[in-house]
Order: sequence, then structure tokens, then C-alpha cells
Amino acid sequence: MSVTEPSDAVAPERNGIEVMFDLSRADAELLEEFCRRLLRQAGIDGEQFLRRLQAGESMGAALGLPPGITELLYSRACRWFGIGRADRAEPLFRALCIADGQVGDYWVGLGICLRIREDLDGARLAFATAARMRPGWAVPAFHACELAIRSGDLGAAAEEIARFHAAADDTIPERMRSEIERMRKALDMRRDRRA
Amino acid sequence: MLLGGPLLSAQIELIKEIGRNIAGAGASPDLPPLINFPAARPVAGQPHTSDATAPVDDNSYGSPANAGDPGQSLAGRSLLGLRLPVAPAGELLRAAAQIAHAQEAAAAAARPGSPAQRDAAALPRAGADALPPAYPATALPGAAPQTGKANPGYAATAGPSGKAAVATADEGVAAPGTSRPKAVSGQAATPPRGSAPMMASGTRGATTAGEPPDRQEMPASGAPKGILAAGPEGTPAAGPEGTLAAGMAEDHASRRATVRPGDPAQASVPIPTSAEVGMADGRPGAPAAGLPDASAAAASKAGMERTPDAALVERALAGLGFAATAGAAPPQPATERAGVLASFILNAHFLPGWPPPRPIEQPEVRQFTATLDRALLGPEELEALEYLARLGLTVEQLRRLARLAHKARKRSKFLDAVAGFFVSLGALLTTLQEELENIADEQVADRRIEAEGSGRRERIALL
Repeated sequence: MSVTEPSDAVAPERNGIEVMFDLSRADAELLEEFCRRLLRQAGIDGEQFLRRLQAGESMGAALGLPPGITELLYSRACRWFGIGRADRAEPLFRALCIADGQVGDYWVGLGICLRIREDLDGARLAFATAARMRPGWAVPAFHACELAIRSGDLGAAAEEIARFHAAADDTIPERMRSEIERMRKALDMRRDRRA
Repeated sequence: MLLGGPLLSAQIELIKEIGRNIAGAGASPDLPPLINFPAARPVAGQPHTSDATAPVDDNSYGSPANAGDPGQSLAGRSLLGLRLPVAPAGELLRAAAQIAHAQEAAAAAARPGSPAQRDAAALPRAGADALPPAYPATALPGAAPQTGKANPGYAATAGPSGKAAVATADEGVAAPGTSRPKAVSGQAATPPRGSAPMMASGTRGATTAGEPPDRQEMPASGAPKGILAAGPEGTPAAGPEGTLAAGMAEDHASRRATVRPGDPAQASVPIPTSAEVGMADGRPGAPAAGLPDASAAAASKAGMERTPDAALVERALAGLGFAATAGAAPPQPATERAGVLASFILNAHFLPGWPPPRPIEQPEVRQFTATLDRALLGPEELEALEYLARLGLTVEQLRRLARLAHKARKRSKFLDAVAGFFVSLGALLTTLQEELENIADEQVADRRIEAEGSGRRERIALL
């Protein structure tokens, strides 16, 4: 893969590393220096890597990963998950989130793996991140709704159902629509029981 | 609890609607049965995923709990709704295979005695003519850059006391301030600019001679353990023939190339001098000192006349920490010279005061660690700050770190950023490396299965 020039995705006032970790310029420079020295100890010249991060590129792009590698990881993650091995899929989804955190599908995949592992807080954060990365996508709301009901947060569940209906388009499978309807009914029953 | 008629009927309707799912075991009393999904059941055996890159013809991934079961709840259990992997299988597998093969080739090239190594050693280079041919060229001081032909960016030299080519690319100091010099073998003193891509080994691969591997990990997260590509100018490179695979190969190669301290079999290997190593006693370019001039004594005892090889002996002894004296090195036959060197190397480990004293750390670092408020800092914070301070920061950077250390909120935020950065980087690289290895293993397994399958068919045919 050819080395691309750093893009101008980030305003010059704050570089990508400052934004990524919400650090001041001086603190970010110190972090960069640590990174530079630690990578150098490992035999790695991190200058270009840091320059790309400063330019706002993702970690995968800054590392110059070959094209197709992230897609390969995604494909294998889906396959592992499909045969029931969420434990194998989770690190792959996590790596994908690190490599390119702008893709909502990666975050949803990670969230579902975390949900299966009963890491509800992690799953909630992952679904929220997916919703932030891809606004107007109904899938994170679908999973977040189930998570909210599971956690007993009925208000949040109702919000997620509303968010799902607002964002659901033709790409949403029918099974998801029927599932969200079942969850809505369960939520209503729960409220009626409390009432 | 009594339920009203409409609610009861609605519940019954729901029960019919969701079928088996509503009868899920382990239902929590606090939750309606609708959302009590059965726990994921384990899948026996290791699935073969070599076809993981095959195009997916539908989007019903199912779930670990019950793949393809229409009665199974999907929420939180299924990847339904996510985009399908669209990458062509052949291209991805070819890329992975290229990386795996490049890794094997690079590892083979880095292996001592390999044809690539021999070719590299046979290359003419400045200064090599003055060296006696009895010494292995790849082990000679100054030979490290040439080994970069087969394994660019790495040196295979290390002294018997673990003093190796510790000089880093631009400053010649590895982890100054540490009590022991960070002798990172497999790290070239100065990789040639514009040469072949410098491959990086991860922390796991950068062997620090004389120090256990776990001491090389950074405290917060662990430095990257995997691979990282570096381009021609130390930039992260890309592509299958780039640095990813070579970095992994270097990981193994650098470990193989590490000279064992005190190995009698390596007694004939000249030791890099202070000037060549750049940090014989922990300081760049510092003269060796602290021990009597044993080289002169040995020379006079041997009573031999001085030959051109004497310079080599002097350099080797100086590399051991003995001060070299001009004109004092004796001439010796090759066998006796090797014996003298071997005895020095072996006896050096029993000498009082060995290894020679080295500078512990910068005064500024001592001052920094002394000012840390150990009562307020947690043990992890303290360890992390001390570790970071010893990375060779400038005075101004140390002051900045000290200011951070004394403000709880900023300190916490900064250390979180450091930890998050390296945890993320390490996780990404480790996962990448493991997956590439898995793919390579699966391809080997595929070939084996194919071969065994054909053999079995033949046997069946014979029966």
C-alpha cells in the first residue's frame, strides 16, 4: 500500500492525538515522546506513525495496514461468531474498533460479543459508540433496547425503541422489526405490572 | 399476583408467539420471560475457519446461542443488520499467504548460516579486509549494518556480558537512567537510510540481554507486542511484502541472533569496542574504565610480538571493560590469542566488581523520583511515572512530567491516555499477528488434510 500523505481531517488548532485523548498540546507532545521512545526500544521508528495520528488518521491507517486486512479481520470475526465462537470473534471486533473506530458495524459486533459475555457496561458503551459513529442507524438501538430491558432500565429501553423506529429504514430485516415489537410489548407488560 | 383479563390474554398470546424462547431456563424473577434468553451453549471442537473469507451469501449469522433458530431472540445475540463482509476471498487469502510466506522467508534468511546470511557476509565492505578471515564476518564489530542485507535494521552482535548494540538510531542511548544498560540485541545501531524497509520487532521480540522479558514491558499496558511496519525511512510500511511479515520474522530472528553471555563457544568472537557499541558502560562513547589494564598484563605475560591482530585483541578487551593501552598489546598466535580471550571472557564473570560500574540514571531523574509524593500516588501510578521518567526525557520534559505528577486530575488523565494508547496499539498488533498465524496454520492444515484424504481414498480403493 502506498504511503499517503496525512490528510487535513483535523483542524490545525488541535491535532489528532490531542483530540483522541483530549489532551493539551504540551501533554500530547509528552505522550508522543513516550510513544516515540518506547517504540524505538522495540526497534520501531514511530515518526510517520505519529505524524499520521496527528493528522487525524485512524490507528490502522497510521500503521499503514495493507488493504483488505481489516476486511479480512471483519470476515473472520463474522465467521467465528456465526459458528458460535463469540469468544474468538470478540478480539477481532476489538481490533477492528481500534484500527478504525469510525465504523459502526465494528462497534455493534463488539457490543454483541460483550453482551454475550455478560459485560453489560461494556456492551452498552459499544452500542452507544456505534450510534454516535453512525447516526440514524437503527441496529445499535435494537441491541441497546434489549440491554436496557435486561438491566431493568425501562426508560432507556423506551427511548431506544423510539430511536429504532425513527431510524428504521428498508435495510432493517423484518425479524428485527418483529423482535423490537416483542420487546415493546414486554416493556408495556412490565409497566402495567408495576402500575 | 392477579392479572387482569386483557393483560393475561396478551401474555398468553405473547407466549404462543415467541414459542420456545419464552420457556428459557434460568429466568430471572425480575424480568419478563420474553427477555430471558437462554445462555450461549458451547460449541464443541475447534471450527475450521479457513473459509472465513468466503463471501457470505446471506446475512443470517445466527447467534452463538442458537444459530439459525427462528425462535431465538436476536437482540444482543446476533449480527443481523451488520454489513456483510464483501472482500473477495481469493485476494485476502493471497495477501495473508504472502505475508505468511514472507515471514518464513525472512526468518530463514535471518537464521545464522543461511544462504542469505552467507551472501550478506560475503559482501565486500569497508574495513572488512583488515579483519582476519578466521572470524565469522557476521559476528565482527561493524558487521551489523551489512547483515541488513538479509535482515535490515538489525544487528546480531552482543557482548558476553550482554553489552550489545544498544545505540538507537539517533541518540545512541537505550533507556538511559536504568541501572543496567538496555542492551537490545537485534536493534541496529544506525539503520541505513533509504535501505530496505526496517522491520520492527515488537517488544516481545526485542531481546534485552541480561534482563527478563517481562521487565521490558511497559507498566501501563505493555508495549506493543506484535508487529509494526516501518518504511524505508522508518515509516510504517504497508503491503504484504512490506514490514508486517518481516517484522514478525525479525521477532524470531532477533532472538536467535542474540549471543549468549559467557558462551565458551563464542569465545573467539571479538567483542565490540566501546566506540563501536556506542555504550559500552551505559554511556554513549564513554571510555571503558574501572578495572586494571589486564590486557597489557596479559600481553606482557604472553611475551609475544605485536601483530596487526593485536588491535583486534585490544578492541575485544576494551569491549569487556578493560582499558586499552596503546602499544601494549602483544602479538600472539591465533590459538593462544583465542585462549586468552576465552579465559578473559570466562573469568570476567568471577571478577569482583564485574560488570564495571555504570551510571545509574540522570540526576534529573533522581530528582524527579525524589519529588514524587509516594503517600498520594498509588503503586501503579508511582511505578508508571518512574518508568516513564527513565525513558530518557529531556530536562524540560521531566519538568513537564513533574508538573503533571503533582496534579491528581491531570496525572490521572495523562496516565490513562498513555495506558489507553499502548493497550490499543498492543491489542491491535497482537490480534493481527495471531490471526495471520492462524491463517497460515489453517492453510497448512488444509494441505495436510488434502494429502491425507487422497491417501485414504487410495487405501480404500485397495481394499
